[in-house]
Amino acid sequence: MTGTFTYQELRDWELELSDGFVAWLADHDVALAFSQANRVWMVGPGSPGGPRPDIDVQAFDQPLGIVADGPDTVWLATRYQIWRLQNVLGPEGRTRDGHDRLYVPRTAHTTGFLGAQDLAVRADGSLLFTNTLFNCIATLSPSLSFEPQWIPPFVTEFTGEDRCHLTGLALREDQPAFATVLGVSDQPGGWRATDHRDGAVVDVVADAVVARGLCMPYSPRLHDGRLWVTSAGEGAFGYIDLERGRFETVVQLPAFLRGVAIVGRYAVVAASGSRSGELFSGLPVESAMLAAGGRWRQGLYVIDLDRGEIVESMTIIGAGYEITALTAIPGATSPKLVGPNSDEAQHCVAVGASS
Amino acid sequence: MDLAAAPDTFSVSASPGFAAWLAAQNASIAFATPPSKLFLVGIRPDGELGVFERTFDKTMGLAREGTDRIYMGLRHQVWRLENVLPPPDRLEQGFDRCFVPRQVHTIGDVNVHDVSVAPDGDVWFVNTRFGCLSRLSDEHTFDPAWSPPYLPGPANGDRCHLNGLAMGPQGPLFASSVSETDAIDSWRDHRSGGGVVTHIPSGEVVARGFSMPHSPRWYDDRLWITNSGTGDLCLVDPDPGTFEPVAFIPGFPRGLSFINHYAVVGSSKPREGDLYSGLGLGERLADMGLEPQLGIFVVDLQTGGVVEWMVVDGPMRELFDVITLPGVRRAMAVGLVSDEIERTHWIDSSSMRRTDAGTWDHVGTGEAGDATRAVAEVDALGRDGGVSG
Repeated sequence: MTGTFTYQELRDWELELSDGFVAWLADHDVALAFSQANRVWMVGPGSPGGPRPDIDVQAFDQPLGIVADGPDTVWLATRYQIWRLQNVLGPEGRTRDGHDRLYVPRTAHTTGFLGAQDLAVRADGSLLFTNTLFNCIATLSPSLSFEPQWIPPFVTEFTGEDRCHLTGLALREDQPAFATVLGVSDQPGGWRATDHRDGAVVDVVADAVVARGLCMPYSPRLHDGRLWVTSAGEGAFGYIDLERGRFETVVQLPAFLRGVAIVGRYAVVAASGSRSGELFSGLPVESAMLAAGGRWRQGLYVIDLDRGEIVESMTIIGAGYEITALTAIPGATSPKLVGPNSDEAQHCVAVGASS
Repeated sequence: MDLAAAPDTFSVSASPGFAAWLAAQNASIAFATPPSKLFLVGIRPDGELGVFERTFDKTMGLAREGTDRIYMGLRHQVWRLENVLPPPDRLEQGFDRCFVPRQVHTIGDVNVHDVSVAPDGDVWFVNTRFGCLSRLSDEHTFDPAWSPPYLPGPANGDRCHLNGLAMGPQGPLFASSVSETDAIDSWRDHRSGGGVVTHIPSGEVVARGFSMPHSPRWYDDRLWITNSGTGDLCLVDPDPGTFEPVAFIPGFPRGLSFINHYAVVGSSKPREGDLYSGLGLGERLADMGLEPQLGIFVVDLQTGGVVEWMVVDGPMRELFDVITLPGVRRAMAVGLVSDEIERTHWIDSSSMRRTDAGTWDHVGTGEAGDATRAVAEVDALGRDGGVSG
């Protein structure tokens, strides 16, 4: 049995939860946050034993990559900025309406539009991000729009022409290890000309393509020495057999899979569809969606990596826009966000200790 | 506020010698006129005055760090703007600085007044609503760093209208406030003659009797201030706590900066019945047959005379702060209203080097040095569905 809840305050969506979804969040002491079109969602387990998660949805200007750095910091890429949102509540703090984390936009870097789809934080707190427009992995720059760190070897110029559509970044021992590209292309916009069958995983350290033939790969993540990744255009989540240079499907859904967070031995994968349909037309995932009743599956899926199967899910009905990125926030039960231009950003004040 | 709808009709006029004076100082001037404008004044290639303006949400205090970085207080934010043009011998359309809003701090609607950079690089601002000097923080909305002795500490509710900060060679040196009272909003009853200057390191009030003082500045080893309610630029002697008028400004003087032996003083237009009126300034102006002006006035510190001026005629009535940029000929800035901020990128194209092996080495970006502008056609970018809507 799945429970259906309607959140009256927003009205344009409902949730279908697997029986154990909320308990799974609570057991793993995490909340999930994801970007979707012009809003950011936060999903926490809420009160102990409660039947429904605590959900907060806030408007942001074209949010893309999102990543939590510990319990108190969330980085979020938006249309032309990368924001650092900072929790302003102490360990025992609660907002009047019971939230235990309140993430307030604290600082932002102006990057210009980069298409920063995947963010990662190093141990020293510095941010790495995929820069789709400039085909690189980048860091924030104090003076310029960004500081490039790595460009795939097959891209021969450092320009803003989105040649390979670099979408994803996996860290290993605090360093960039693998990147995903939608096409092994050196032509401006060339990744679009490849019929979306030339997605690849690139070894950042060896500067070599290590797997090809993926269909729009996103969100590479290393866990226990295995490289997990999505092949979104075929609705697949799986891993790379690095010996054979092949993608092995583990789970398949009638949805575009983009945004993966590893929690313990589980991967939480975000699934969504397209409003326009144009981009995904002709992809295997579109046929799968049509075969499954003509409706994109949308929501969050918890996959047990040991067993290779979906164990819990939160399906979103309505609010049918693309989810672009997902992160797990440790220790949060009821997180809430404040938008950068909201009244709260003007009036919510967290004062540092007097010196 | 809707920035695109901000008042945009205004005209600028200046004294005949203003351009020559500015060129002779080898400097540019930036000033903020709330609710929405940042003005940058410099010299065009043809020697004429060049006025450049951008729209932001409630422009307040300004500070510079060197001449490649500006801090700007807004309604609930402090922005750091960075110059992206290479060294000034390479001009772009006659501009030798282009300031891009690079990083923003959300400080809340604390009624930020003066902003200043300490010698150690910390950014300080006057937090008028909380009655304290604050530092920018990556963790908190602000870090309170100092409160005047007559307040029990930082607290919400503007009590004394703490508004000005003079940065000294070792750090924050003097602060100005409209009163030395600690009841919420009580400063409004002390606008005439209740203003004080407090020495920050010792926490002692060192001069009293000002009418709505603003913009204390430490320059040439002396303390200057605008006694705004009477229209005077003043020189303060903290010991024994006296002050002398240096020059009369035809308006409500606020915003003060220096270049060589000149003071550049901002001037606002008080309105009958508003907070800035009833302090003697209106009568002085009427006696002299003058209308209050919105603009900047250049005072020769050797003679005390106003030697040059520039006024803005438009819907704005306030000038909040002014800074001089020594060595800068003409500066421009990128705004946040148009999609330029989204479409334009500044990169150092030499920061990545292609190797013989066909891979890339990260060389790194120099000291803001070799920035090149990369205007990307964002619409042509592969928006793969993630950025629709």
